[in-house]
Amino acid sequence: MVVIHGGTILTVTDGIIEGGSILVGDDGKIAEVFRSHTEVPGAMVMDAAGKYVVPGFVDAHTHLGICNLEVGEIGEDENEMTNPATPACRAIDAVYIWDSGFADALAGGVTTVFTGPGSGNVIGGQSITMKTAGTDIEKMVLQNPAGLKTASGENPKRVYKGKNQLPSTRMGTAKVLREALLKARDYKERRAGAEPPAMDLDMEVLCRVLDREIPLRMHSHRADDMITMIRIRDEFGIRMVIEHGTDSARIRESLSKAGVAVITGPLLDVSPKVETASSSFNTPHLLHEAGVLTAIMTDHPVIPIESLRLEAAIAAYEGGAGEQEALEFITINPAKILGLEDRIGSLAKGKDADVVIWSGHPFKASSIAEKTFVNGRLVSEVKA
Amino acid sequence: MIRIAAQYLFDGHQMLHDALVTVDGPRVVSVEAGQTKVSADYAAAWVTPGFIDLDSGIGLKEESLGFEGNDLNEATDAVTPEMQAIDGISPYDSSLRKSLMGGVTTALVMPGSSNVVGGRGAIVHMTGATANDMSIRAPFGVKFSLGNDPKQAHGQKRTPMTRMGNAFLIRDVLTKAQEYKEKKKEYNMKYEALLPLLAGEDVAFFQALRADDIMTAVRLAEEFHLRYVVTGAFDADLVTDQLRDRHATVAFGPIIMSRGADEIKRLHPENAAALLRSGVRTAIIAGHPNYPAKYLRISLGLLVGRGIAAETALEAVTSVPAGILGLEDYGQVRPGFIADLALFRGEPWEPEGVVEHTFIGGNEVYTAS
Repeated sequence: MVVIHGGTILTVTDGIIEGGSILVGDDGKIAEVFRSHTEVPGAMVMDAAGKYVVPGFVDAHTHLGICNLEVGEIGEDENEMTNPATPACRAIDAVYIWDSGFADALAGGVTTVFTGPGSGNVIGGQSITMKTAGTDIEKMVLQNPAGLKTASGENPKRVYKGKNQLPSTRMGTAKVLREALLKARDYKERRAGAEPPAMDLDMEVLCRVLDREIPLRMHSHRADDMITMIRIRDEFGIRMVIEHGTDSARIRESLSKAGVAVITGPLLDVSPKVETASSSFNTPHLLHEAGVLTAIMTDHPVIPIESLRLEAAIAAYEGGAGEQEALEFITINPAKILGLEDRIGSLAKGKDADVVIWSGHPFKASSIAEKTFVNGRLVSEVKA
Repeated sequence: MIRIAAQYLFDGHQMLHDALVTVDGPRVVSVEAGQTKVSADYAAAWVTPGFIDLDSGIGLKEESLGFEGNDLNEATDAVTPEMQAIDGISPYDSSLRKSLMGGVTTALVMPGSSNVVGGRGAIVHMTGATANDMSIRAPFGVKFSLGNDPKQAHGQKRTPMTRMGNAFLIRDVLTKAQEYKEKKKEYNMKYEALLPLLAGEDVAFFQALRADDIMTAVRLAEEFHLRYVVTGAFDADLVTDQLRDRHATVAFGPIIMSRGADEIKRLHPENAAALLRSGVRTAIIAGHPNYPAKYLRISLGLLVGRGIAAETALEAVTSVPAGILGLEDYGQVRPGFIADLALFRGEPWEPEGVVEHTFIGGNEVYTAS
């Protein structure tokens, strides 16, 4: 058992506690959050006086480990661009857990990520959610598959236009997705019948989408792309999360009505494409105000993963969100989007002990994540 | 006359408390510290000189566009000293206005790093209806590039394919320009563009990331007696003794960028902090468009968090780059200096220290809504 004493505890879901204590059990869970200083006999004491105690951040859209740092092209395994629809591709087969990006994540207080295929294909493949500390991917993974990566807009049509292949337009992209889902619907019916078809790995995962077991994680920047993709969602009664949502502010009422969550970002970059022109740190707050469940992503390595907190900080002070709301964008909200709000995303009794002791408020650029715990284990330490 | 009251004023070198800055026309006319009970036109928690970004692609690589807005690299030839950034700068790049929102008022815009000799830069303000209006001094600076970028851009078609090729091309063109200078024959635009540099009237900016490339830049600059700056310089902390002994100047950055390639693998704020501590003359750059110039200020926070004094971090984006560019009346808030100013809500290097007003030459060019 470890007890963390003192400091400013940002619980996220139960206010800010000054001078309390957090007890971490041997099972790697938070055994108790005490609102005042509480001695626990037998527990190892960790002094956090003058520090900030914060839940591990959750980055709900990254390519961590699947797009490796330091080695260039040779380490890029996120886009199987030999076919515009590759639902059977699995991120778990390509995530390199010894990539130095994982250490960056811990140094930036990020303890859970959603990572997986990129947006080169209309259907990219199966993503995973995982903790950022560990030496065994099977033990690090929380959800596999966590969702099926799909993409709309400029990327897939640019990739396949270059190969003189479908899709070279937005119409083509919608066709590829719709056709895959229709085929899967047919496959599913035949699978239940007297003469089941031969096993098809692509179809099998699409059936899990049709069964609402996993959502489509839909890369979409332009407002019309989002509307198109929600149209397809509703045609099939499937689940969908919007990724990027760069132009989502202008359709925030529609998104709210559609009950779709949006993971905004990357924000700390120079808008690289026509479809990202309206990129703004105001977007997350505007979505939140409209009732849309909203998170912020780095899209690592587009923005280095350790900068997730800086994006949230700018959204807080410049984008109108304020500190609490912006903190939720990188903790409890992405946890909810992933369906993991009972395990991660805040400091509360019974949750995974993913706890970070910061030298100052994590929204200060000058603050350092001095101690990072994942599942109650101290996995990263920086001398401030 | 405009009077600006600052709880904290960074004047380019040191911090003053409760300062009153008076601006008349384009210049600062007085700075008085310890003025607590004065009425002023503006009151700000923090005031600094407008930031100066020493090697930027702003305006040359326009935001939210593909090839239509990308004029960084004339990569049809690896040696293009005759290119001028001023001819490619778009005053409509939305990043310019965003820069003002981050307190950046001035940049040395330089061609990109695809060519071993990219062309000449332009020192510009972040406002102006045309590139001419933006310009403070152009052409200024010659961009050179070492390492992988030129190899990658040209190696399949022409020299350079190797680091040896990079150095050869630079040495070759400077040797020929030197010869051209001594016995002018028929007009040559490439060599003409290099004459101010050979005469010591211009400055070479060598983009070099790896330590060996940094030292190649130093070797070439010394061979031809050039005034020079090494930009990017992610490995500079490995060669601080060598750089300090030679009085070299470094423009380090961006500080926030993924280590996506082999040459970038040692990019870490800690290494930038080590460089600043070493005493090598160092400016910090945003590296726009790899990192947005608007948030140059926040990248400084990562250095402050690693023990670099706020004054040192702020100097690296104000008086140090002004000195490197030879802009004698920029980069400081002192009587007689150009009134390029940024007014912040809090500490300029923290996300919370949002910019509230930005001035260029005494004109308010940005106001937070």
